[in-house]
Amino acid sequence: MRRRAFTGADALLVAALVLGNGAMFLRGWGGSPAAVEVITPAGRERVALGAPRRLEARGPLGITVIRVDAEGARVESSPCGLQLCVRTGRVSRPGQAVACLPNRVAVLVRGSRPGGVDAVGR
Amino acid sequence: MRSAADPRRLARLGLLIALAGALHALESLLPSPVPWFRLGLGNAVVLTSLHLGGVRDGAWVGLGKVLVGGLLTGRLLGPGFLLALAGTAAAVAAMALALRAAPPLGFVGVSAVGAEAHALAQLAVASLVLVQTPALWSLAPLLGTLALAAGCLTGLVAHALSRALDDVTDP
Repeated sequence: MRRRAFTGADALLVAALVLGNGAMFLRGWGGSPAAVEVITPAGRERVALGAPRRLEARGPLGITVIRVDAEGARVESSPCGLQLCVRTGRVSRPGQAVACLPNRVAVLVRGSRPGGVDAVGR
Repeated sequence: MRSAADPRRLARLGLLIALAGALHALESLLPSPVPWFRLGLGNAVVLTSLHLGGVRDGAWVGLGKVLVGGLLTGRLLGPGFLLALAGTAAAVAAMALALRAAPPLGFVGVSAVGAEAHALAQLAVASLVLVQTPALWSLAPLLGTLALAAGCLTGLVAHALSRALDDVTDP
């Protein structure tokens, strides 16, 4: 029934947890949603969230229409067969994504980086 | 294994629940830089109970901590109570698992895991039940890291407390 206070295993575990938190942060979770990244065969483009806009992303099958507003984004239409991207609906949390694989278009929600939280209420 | 009604065990449970509840209540009254964030000394007592008596004893002290703490601060059944309950339940589960599954772990590691589980469970409950905005998860890395640090500290406290009680209560 003797258990040590601090062992090598502890150091490893704590290090792993710290890295886990860091990973959460880097994946955009360390901030409120601030922008979406639209990825197409042509490249990546970062679009800030804000007033409602309509984006067109071109892929091999045609144009995927993306609606971006202050809270997130969704795929409005796409030239794919199953329309899974349209059916996914809105994404609004940093780290969430919606993608049209046949047309090779992806939309990722990105958080703002350090200082993303403006205020925390009780 | 002693029987469940062993008076020594009951006395120890009573002592630990009172201690955990008092610590929990006191901490909640102290000002904190990040809202909701506490050192979690009550969890050090919970860990001690887990170590000395097993999962059930740990669960009793966890429950007692939240109830007694709630009674002392007069905030029973409010949102803070719900969060404390969720966090403590997660911490007990995580620490019990860690104690069982990883013998080479010391108090610090087990406590750190418990603290992280505590913080994440509270975020989950808060985002589902209380605040309902996904932006709440943006706090996860910050609260998680703070919880880790606090967990390491309380692990050391738990170790000291376990040693002290071990000497007193075990034949």
